[in-house]
Amino acid sequence: MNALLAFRQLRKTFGARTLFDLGPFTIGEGEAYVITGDNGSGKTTLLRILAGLEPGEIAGFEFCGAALNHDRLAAEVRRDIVHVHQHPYLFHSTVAHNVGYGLAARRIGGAERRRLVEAAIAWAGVEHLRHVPPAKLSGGEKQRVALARAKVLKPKLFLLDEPTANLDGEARTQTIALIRQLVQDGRSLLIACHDRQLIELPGTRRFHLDEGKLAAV
Amino acid sequence: MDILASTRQAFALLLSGDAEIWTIVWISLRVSLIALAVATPPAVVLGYALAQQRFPGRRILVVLIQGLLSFPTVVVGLILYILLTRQGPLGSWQLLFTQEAMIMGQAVIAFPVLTAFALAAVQGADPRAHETAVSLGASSLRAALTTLLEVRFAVVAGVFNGFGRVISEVGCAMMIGGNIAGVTRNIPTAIALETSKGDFAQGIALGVVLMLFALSISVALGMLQGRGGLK
Amino acid sequence: MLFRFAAALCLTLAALPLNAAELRLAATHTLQDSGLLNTLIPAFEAVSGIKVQLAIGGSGQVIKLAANGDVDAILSHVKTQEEKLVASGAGLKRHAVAFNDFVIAGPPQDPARIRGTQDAVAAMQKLQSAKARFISRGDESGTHVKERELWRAAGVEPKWAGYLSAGVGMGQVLMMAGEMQAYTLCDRATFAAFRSRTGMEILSEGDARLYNEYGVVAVNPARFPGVQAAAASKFVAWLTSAEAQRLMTGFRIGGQQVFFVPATAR
Repeated sequence: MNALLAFRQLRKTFGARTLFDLGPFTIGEGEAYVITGDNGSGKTTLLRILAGLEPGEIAGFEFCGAALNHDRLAAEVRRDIVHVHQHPYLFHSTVAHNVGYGLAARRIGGAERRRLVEAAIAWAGVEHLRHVPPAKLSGGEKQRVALARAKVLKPKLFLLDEPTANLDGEARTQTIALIRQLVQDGRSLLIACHDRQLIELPGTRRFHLDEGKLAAV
Repeated sequence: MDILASTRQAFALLLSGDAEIWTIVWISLRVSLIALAVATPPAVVLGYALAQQRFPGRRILVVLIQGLLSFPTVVVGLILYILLTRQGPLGSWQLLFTQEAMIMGQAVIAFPVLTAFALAAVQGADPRAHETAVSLGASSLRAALTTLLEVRFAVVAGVFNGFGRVISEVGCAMMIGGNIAGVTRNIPTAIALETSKGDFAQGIALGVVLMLFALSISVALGMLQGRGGLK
Repeated sequence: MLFRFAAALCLTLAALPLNAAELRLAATHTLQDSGLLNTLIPAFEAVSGIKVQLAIGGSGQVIKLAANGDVDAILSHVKTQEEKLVASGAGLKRHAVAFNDFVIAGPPQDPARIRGTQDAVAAMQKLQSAKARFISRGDESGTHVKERELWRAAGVEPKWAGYLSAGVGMGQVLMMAGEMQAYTLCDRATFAAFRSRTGMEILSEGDARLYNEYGVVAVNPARFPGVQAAAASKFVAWLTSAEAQRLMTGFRIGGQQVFFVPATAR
């Protein structure tokens, strides 16, 4: 297994309180990981630190085989890691604009962007919502647009925070189907969740975050 | 002086397209819109920085901006007069009693309003908006523009409020504009003059125009609120 | 505490109209800006025990205030309009109070070369042909009326880019003229009072048509029962008394006498 991302130690403290203090951990290329843990155990924070959205103390950090200082994680690694929020935020424009946003940030424009956006929209099954204002979408539709918005960037690592929280029925089934496809396609994923169906998704490794430690299950 | 007769005369003036009145209205609009165009970009940048960044002196700046919201406009006029007078530090620009001086004055008056609204707008923005932009690979500039775009209605509400403040401002306009007919005479200074001459018809006509502006601003703000942009 | 304060305030407000020893006087910018009123009013108040409420405006506005019965007496300097006010029945008799003259003032460089032109009409014609920058009061004041009289006599329609109609008081017009290096028509007293602040010079003076006379008119109580007729008539009598005239002729700006008493007064 080729290591995509690894750290020797990752610690998050709030003043004197330590949220977690994790030992060596490696994410392999093309591997999918599910992290379970109680509310407040730090799953969300762990994902946010790895996405560069929140500071944390990291030692021995490596990404794609290169040793990196954590200070530079945000700038250099951010383009290869996409974080999807538990309640995805969609910009107040259109579904198509949202899906193309990251491409625009990477200066991919014109016909190329349109083609990629169309493919991602088709993949997520939201073609009929292309020009709908995002505020009118349901929770499940928002989650699928957010997954398309992440997938279109072909990131080296997906960080999915509770992707099926607050979803049920058809919406939940459709979202899980998309994530299963990402796993089958050999994408690298780190998923924080409670959802039994996601936890038991074939091809994933499961870790449990408890009392500030991460343990394989 | 018969109020009814004056009012009737006022509407006759407005409807007949009286050149003097519409020149005054045009000067008012021109000066205030240019002032807003000049003041809005730096005010939005400052408002964004105050809301999003942490830097030394930030608290003081926020308090200062809030204090300047109710800064007396005649004091703005006084300060600009002292700066722009022939003997003043900027006297060589020869701007006193010109539209440019009025634009400067109104830009200064509108600046804290625009900044405070931009600040509140960005503070009221969903924090996920900026995070999502960053997470999708946006540069800080693009993330900033995206965040501002997400709260555009609240930012535009600030521009409308700034417009309301400067379009009806009389003290500063009178002091550094000089109320020169066809050059620096805008709606408020013209109304002040017409009333002092005891000629109420033109004053009423201009007052009607000013109130129409105020009304359109409230309607526009109401519509913006309806868009849910104001958080 | 708050209630007592409010009660006291109500009592004070209620008491205000009962105070009969008050005079509402409207006077022109030139008398205020020259500083003469600052000498006259306190002296009158001391002698009569009457408190003066002063409103300042152009003569046009001052005369309108009298015509509407909004004041008790007026001081202005457009004789024809004052006489019309009397003729309409809104004002009692007009009394001449003091006189001086207008001057044409301008920047020391005098770009239109009117310096030494005694004929005021000729000077105005030169200003027009030089398309000189000229600031007009533009407010129906006595000075504005005189200025229009001169343009009419000169056969000139003042309508070039440098002719600016300001619509503000005499003092502010002088300040503007100083700032913009422009010409203006001004009464001698206000000019003297603002001279050091504006750096302007008198460039044309001495024409008989520049005569500037101030008059006082009390508002007719028969037409407007609300006016303080007794206070107004006391004021008119005092203003034309030897004592008030001594004050006016004794009034100096920079050592110079700027108001004169008409032989026809009283």
